[in-house]
Amino acid sequence: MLGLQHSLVIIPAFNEEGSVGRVVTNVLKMKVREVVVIDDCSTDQTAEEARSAGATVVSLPERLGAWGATQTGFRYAVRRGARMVVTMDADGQHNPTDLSALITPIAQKTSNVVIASCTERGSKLRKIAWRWIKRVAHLDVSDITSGFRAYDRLAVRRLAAWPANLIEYQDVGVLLLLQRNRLTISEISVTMADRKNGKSRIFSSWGAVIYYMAQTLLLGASKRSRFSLRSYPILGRP
Amino acid sequence: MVAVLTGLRGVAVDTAILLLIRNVRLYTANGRGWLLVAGLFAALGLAPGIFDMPANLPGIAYPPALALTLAVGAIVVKLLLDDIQYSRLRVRHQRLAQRMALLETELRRLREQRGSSDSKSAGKKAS
Repeated sequence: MLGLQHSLVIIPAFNEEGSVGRVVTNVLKMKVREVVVIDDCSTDQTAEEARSAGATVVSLPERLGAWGATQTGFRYAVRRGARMVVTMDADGQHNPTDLSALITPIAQKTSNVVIASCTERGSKLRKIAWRWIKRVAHLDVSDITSGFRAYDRLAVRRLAAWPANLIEYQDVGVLLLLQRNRLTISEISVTMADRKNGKSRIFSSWGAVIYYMAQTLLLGASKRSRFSLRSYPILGRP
Repeated sequence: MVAVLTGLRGVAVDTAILLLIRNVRLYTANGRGWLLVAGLFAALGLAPGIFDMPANLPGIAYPPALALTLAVGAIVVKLLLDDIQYSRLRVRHQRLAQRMALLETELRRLREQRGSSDSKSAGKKAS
């Protein structure tokens, strides 16, 4: 059966020198196969910190954004023949001890993708935005923006292919692409820590929020499918 | 006089396009379309009446309105085609950047493996 020793953990990072080393160290303690930090053209010591903590570092020649960096990780995973991939944030929000619960539905072959959901986080405004987006895009997932997810080989191959390059953000666009490919998604409930360093790239300013909402609602309306995602009840931690 | 001026404007645009192609500033395939547009400018300038008959058929009272509508339509189509092309180029560019980063990582790994095997063989020779 698949286990953490088969999991490749992808961590996209942009100017996260204060937290990336600690995150890599904590993930490596979980005995995963490899930790890959995709350095999205950081201007600080992110790459050096990640490398010295034991991660493989893929340095992008120019900034591709959070999704572009994550997709680079998926392409790396395809090249390395990874059987399972987990994506995590570099800011220390995600708890590596949840990794085992996160990959269980994939190891048991009951899901292609598992999302670590934490619906408690986020402001009221953000929750209203999520509700709108889910309604427009026909998405039956409780936490659409969580970057803490596990993917099986099939999902990784789909997301590494070129149509996924047209996605701008890693949340709704990715879910819609998975929906079109009729992949199954489940969720587990987790708690997430507050961001220790840096700030959200999506919600960095009001202008960024408006841009994000316009892009995401357009994407949701244009790509919504008559096949809704096969939804599963949120699983508790075993 | 106005007809001559607008006709000359078309000829000037044609000349500019030819110069841009000659100086390798404009791709020949893109230049073809612009030459056609400039040719139409010149034709419209020198013979403004060429739109009278096509405008009369659907009953357009003011023939230049037809020319203007067609021109705006052509601009919209051109802008849309440009954006489609831009999206294509952006995907290609992004994939190349990703591929370059992946190859650099592989190269680093191979160098490290080679370095460690070299140091091992050097250690064996020394012993």
